[in-house]
Amino acid sequence: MENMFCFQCEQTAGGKGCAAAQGVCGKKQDTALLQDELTGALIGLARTANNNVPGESANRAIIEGLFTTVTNVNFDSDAVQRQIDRVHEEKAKLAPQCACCSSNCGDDYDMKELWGGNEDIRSLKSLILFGMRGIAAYAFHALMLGYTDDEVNSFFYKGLLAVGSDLDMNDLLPLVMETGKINLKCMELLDRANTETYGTPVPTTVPLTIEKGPFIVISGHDLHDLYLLLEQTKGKGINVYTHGEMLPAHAYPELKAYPQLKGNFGTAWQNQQKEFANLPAPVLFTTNCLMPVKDSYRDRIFTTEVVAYPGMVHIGDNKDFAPVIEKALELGGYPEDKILTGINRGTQVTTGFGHGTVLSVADKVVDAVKSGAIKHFFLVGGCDGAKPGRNYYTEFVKKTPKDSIILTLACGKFRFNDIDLGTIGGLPRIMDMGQCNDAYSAIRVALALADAFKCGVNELPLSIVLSWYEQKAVAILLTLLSLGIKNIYLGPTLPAFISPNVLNYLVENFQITPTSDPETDLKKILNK
Amino acid sequence: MTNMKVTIDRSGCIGCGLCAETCPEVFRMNEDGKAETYAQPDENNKNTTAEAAENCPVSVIKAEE
Repeated sequence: MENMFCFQCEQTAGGKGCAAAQGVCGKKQDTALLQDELTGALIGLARTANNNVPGESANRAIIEGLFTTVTNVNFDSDAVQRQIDRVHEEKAKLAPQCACCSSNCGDDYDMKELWGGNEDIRSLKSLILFGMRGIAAYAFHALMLGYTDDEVNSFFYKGLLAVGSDLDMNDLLPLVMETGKINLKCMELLDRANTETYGTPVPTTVPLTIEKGPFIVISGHDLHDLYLLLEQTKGKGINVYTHGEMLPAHAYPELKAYPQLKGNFGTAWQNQQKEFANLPAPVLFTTNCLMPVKDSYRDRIFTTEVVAYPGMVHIGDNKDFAPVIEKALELGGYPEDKILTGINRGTQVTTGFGHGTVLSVADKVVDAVKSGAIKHFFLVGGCDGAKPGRNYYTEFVKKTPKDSIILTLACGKFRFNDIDLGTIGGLPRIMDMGQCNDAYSAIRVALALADAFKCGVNELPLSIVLSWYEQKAVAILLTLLSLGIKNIYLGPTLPAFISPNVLNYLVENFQITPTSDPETDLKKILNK
Repeated sequence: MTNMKVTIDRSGCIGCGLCAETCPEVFRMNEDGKAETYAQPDENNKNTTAEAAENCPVSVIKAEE
């Protein structure tokens, strides 16, 4: 078998690329190669669509195909193969004559051409491809709630076509920025889908204690799956606890109305192998981040949507969660209430500070800045991960001055969201804006503040400190760059797929700074 | 003193470098691209040694007391 090559996430082997029998994420070589084949097939579909008008089922195949290849989503070769077959079926539907035509205009693309090509071209195409994988995840969640956007869907074809085409840096750079713009549009779409369906998030305190009795843990980003699970567990004496990126669901009025939605279990994704060991409850994964499943909880992991892992029960499109419910009743939960804590020993966390909440007190915020009560805003967010350098974000937040506000989002917040940093003029110093896609909220707030102070976002007393791990963070970074936002601190390490020339471009044009240590970076930021 | 003994089944190592980052006092990357132990853990680093073993993505590190 040929070697796999994958360098799309932050933990990639040696900071260069996974090229052995298995990726650091746990994805086996054969699955990784199929992931490449799937991407090549998607490019083939985009090529075919170039001369034909794709329909809804082709759009969905593209969205699901891209989403499947996000890190920690799908470890199941059979499931990836089924996606490939489906993409080929869509291609055949679009252009039935393709199969018997001698021209190769709609052929699948061989990803080896990309991985083995010029490093700067590879770098820019990787930004486009990985960014699109992140966008596709958001497009998928929006689609589940009945929201879709033609411009976003069209861009997937355009971007895939570009990845498979012979383009130079001047052609690709504008497309990299367009990827960021499209992600903004897609995050706005998902924000609309989530808030119109489940209400505007409100500040909510979420306990970390697990009450006695049967319960289900639900992980990932898909609010629609949580809603369906809450409906199906109604009156059954089973409590539901969020995990990881599902935490912000507690703030949505239509979801928090369910009395069995009790609290949050555990911390960020990379701790799951420890936290799930012997857990007396099933865990349902609706999206990433799923890690290789250990024996002590192998019988209680369930997947749905595009998430899959060999040997785990997969809940299909009928969304019948009965097997999960049965497992919860069988395992029975804890015999007594179990007091669990965050990584800093806090027993509760808060969430729900989306743009709706923060902008409703915009006057208060603006006054606090004018009076000097708030001197600086930090947006500290992004993904968490296993590498030891990630305690940077805990230390950074702990060391921020008392007259500063920390806006946060995504699972990187589990490094500090159980710390009580107090309040400024009634506003909590740490405000959790939501999931990674709620970077849209942070952008809305930043633009509103810039408007209030009649300046640009770059002139605001606002510093962005991002932790990245997977491809949604890539999409968000590109969005921030496409908005012209400068001086972003990025860590814990820079992406392996950023070539030295592309890095120089980003540093020269956007002053992106790799994180160093919290004290040095804070000094640099505040003395500016 | 700790009784912890650490070993690596190097044949399965994928060279990700996580152990050497987590506990550089015990693990390092060899020229062949794979991890190796060059010291046994002591009281100061036995916790990070255990963490490196737990987090190894291919579970080839054994840290036993």
